[in-house]
Amino acid sequence: MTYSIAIFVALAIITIGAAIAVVTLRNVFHAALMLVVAFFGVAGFYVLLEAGFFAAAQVLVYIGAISVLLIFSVMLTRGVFMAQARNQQSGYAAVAAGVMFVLIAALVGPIAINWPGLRIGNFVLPPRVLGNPIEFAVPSPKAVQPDYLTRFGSNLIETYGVGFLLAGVLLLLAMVGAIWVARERKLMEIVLERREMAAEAKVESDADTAAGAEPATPPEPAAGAAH
Amino acid sequence: MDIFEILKFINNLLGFVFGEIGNFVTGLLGKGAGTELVLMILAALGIITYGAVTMMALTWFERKLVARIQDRIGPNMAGPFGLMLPLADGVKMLTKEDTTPANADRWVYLIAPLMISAFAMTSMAVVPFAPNVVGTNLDIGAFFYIAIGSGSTIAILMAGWGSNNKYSLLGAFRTVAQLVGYEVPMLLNVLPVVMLTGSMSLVDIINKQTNVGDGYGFPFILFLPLSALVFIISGIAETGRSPFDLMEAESEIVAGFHVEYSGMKFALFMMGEYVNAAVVAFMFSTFFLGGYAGPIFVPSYVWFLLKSAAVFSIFMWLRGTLPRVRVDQLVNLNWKFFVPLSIINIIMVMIVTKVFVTSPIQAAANGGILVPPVLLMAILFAFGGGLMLAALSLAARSMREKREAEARVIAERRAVNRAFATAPAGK
Amino acid sequence: MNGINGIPLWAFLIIAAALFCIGLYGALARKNAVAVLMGVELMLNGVNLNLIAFWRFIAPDSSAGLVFAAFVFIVAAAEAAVGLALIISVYRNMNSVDPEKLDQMKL
Repeated sequence: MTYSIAIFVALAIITIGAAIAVVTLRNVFHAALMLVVAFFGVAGFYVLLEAGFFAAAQVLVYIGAISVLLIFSVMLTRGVFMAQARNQQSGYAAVAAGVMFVLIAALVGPIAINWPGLRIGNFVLPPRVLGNPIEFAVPSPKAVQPDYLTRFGSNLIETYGVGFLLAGVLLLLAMVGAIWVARERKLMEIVLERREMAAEAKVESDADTAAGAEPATPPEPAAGAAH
Repeated sequence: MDIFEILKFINNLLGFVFGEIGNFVTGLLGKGAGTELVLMILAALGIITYGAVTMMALTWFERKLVARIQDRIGPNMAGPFGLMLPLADGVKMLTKEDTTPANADRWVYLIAPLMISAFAMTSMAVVPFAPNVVGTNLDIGAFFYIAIGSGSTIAILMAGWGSNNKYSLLGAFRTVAQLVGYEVPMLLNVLPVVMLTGSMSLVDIINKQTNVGDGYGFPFILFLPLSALVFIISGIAETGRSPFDLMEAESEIVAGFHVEYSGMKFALFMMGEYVNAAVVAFMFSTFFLGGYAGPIFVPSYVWFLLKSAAVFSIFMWLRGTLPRVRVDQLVNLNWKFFVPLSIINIIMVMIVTKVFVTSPIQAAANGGILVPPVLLMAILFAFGGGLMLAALSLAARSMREKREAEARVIAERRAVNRAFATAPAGK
Repeated sequence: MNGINGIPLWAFLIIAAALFCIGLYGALARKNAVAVLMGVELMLNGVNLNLIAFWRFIAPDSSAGLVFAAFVFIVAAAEAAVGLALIISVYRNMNSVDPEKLDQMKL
């Protein structure tokens, strides 16, 4: 028990530190590597929560696949050495994130202190839902049954089967869509695409000029598109 | 003492020795949480040392075996029969200059080989060496192995990027495409083993292949020949050994993503690769050959090592014999042949194990024909073997057609060229 | 209050909330579209941690929390794939991954 708390504190420091590094580093490749560290930290939390299967699934899916995708696109989009890391509304974003954290902590607070609720005369907080009070007190957790994985598997297919099949369809559509959108285009295809876009832009700018607005500037052609 | 007592003692030797070490440390430090921590760290160190020693032995064995396949003797100067070769290799690696490329990302460059070795060693934590000798008997052992195997792709991208070298980066891309691709057939072929066992724990999988409890009594390679074949091929591709050694093609792409690494860092890459290959051999013998199970006249840990060494010898045999696979052939083979085959295999195993069951409880609960394990093995072997033959013959036929079409096109072009060359000059 | 090995529920919830809010800041305040996606992935991880923590403490007998978390894994993977494909496609046309430059409905 003693080193569970020590492990928790260490994991918390590592994960939150890595998360902060992800959103503040200027070098996007380093940010992606820090994201991998954050994912490992979250996998450690899953192990602490006795959901070992999800820790392994986190490593397999997030670190083994999604991080690889992210690093590939970092390398393919050549935006690694940006001038700044933050854009103009970073101040507002920080305020938004802070307010969000305070709001969530306000919800977590009553759970932490086992708040029994507030009664002033007829006024009751938290309000009753269908006659039952919302309990903030968390009971002592029961032990996880040793065959939780077997029941998880059978539930996934029996009770939540529709969602499971829809998830499969979603993955198939996402795969097909991603491959199609990012496919390698032959030179002729790119030339025809450009011609189409220029024609559309010309039609719109003609319509705008007819209506009295100023013509829009055409987009700059990309240099590294023909590969 | 009785001969059986002696045999039982030798069988449990490893467990006995480790138990005594544990008692010694507990006696030294007293019972408590700190002692457990020390024991766990000692066990981890023992496994890591075993991994490193395995790598040393395997480098020697590989060079001797591949040399014999290539009709030469192999290293025999460094000690009797070249047995001091790993030490000589180690000294060579340590004394080489430790360079860092200019403008390389220093930390990324340094951490990449450490990460690969660390992941390889981590996957050794679930390997069952003997009945009670396993790093940790996780209840998700097989899944843990696959997950850790997939985590090392990040380290390769780090190595390729941190070297600040375009060829290194291209090599890293191709390597990652190969690794991420071949994880899929590996995972899909561990699934029938888990389905037949009903549990992902490696010790349970081994017990299911013996006569313990409600085990089948036959190794899973007789039940699932196709899964075994695809698993071993995907395992070879995962670790980057020949014939899938595009990653370190020593004569072509200038050693791929570890071209800028020399000295001890290169040794760490090699250690990662050998330990990964050793763990694939361990896992194959656990999933499909019965692991440490075997007749009692040989201790269980010796059985395990014998089976894994046999599997690893097959790896070395393939290395010495087959030419390298081209990268587009590799990727085509994976996505167009292995993955559909594995999926059809899973569906087939699913249907057969639902229709023919071996336990009376399941037959009563879900309905199904009750058969003894031998019959289930025969049915699955028949279906699996039939599927394998059908797939191989289809693949062979399509390759022959493609080859003949190509030959026809080449002959046509040659005829055209010849006609053009011998035509009268001037148009 | 008792928890898992002495770790109470609110500790996990605070960590999940912190991950979510840091991801939110990253998604709103970064100049590189890939970094925005990294923020989104952090948010999804925070959500998953929340779900698994509540599953463990409130209802470890049922699998509803685990199934929900599994679906979040699946959707996160699908969304990362499609998002990155879109970013690569946009980069090919506009040679920039700054999300602020993408302020019109045509390229």
